[in-house]
Amino acid sequence: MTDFVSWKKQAGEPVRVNDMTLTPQSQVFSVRVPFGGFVWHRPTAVTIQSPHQNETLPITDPTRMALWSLLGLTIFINVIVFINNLAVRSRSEAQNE
Amino acid sequence: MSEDLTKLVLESIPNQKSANELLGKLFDITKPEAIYSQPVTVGDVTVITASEYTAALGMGYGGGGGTSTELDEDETNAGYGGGGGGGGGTMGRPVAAIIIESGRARVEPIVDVTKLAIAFITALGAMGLALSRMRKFADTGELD
Repeated sequence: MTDFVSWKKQAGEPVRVNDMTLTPQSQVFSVRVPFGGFVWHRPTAVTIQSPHQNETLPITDPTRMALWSLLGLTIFINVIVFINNLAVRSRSEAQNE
Repeated sequence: MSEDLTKLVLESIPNQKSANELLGKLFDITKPEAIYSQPVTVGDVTVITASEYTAALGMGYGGGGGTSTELDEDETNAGYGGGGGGGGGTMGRPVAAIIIESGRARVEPIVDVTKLAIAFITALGAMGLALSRMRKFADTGELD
């Protein structure tokens, strides 16, 4: 199962910039089948180690968050309008009867 | 016939090997180094970009053969054939820039305004279409 589908977090080789060491971290989702494959790889955080700074900075993706929010909002509005129209339709049918 | 099939199989082996090598390259982007760039220093500022990658690849191949004595009963006619195909796509997008300045590092997110604008316009269009269909449904009771 793990050979076919994999979802893992991993740390890369540390990179040195002057007196600072940066360790990149990422998350990868991959599906591997004999006739093809799919890979989604995104950065998650970077760990900073230096005399002045020792912390892990998360990497957020505002574009992805906005896209998912937009999708959620679209579905929500459509569901609300659909329910409202169903109510209007049943009310008008009741009045006709 | 079996010679033909053997020939077909032998001919397809290099193609299958190339396809498997290509598939192996697809999984090279699963290494963290693939999504973080090398540091670029300009003056006192060093920048490392972090990108998101999506890749998909599919392929297939097949072959076959057959014999026939339809045209000439004394002679067996044999034929074989094979082929393959594949397709795929990749998508990469910068997500953030790691900026190192005055001995401190910070992460600056990168917003893809074009992608958001396209998605917003598409969502508006989909909502408009759905609204008009639902209004019609409320009026007539029919969706089509």
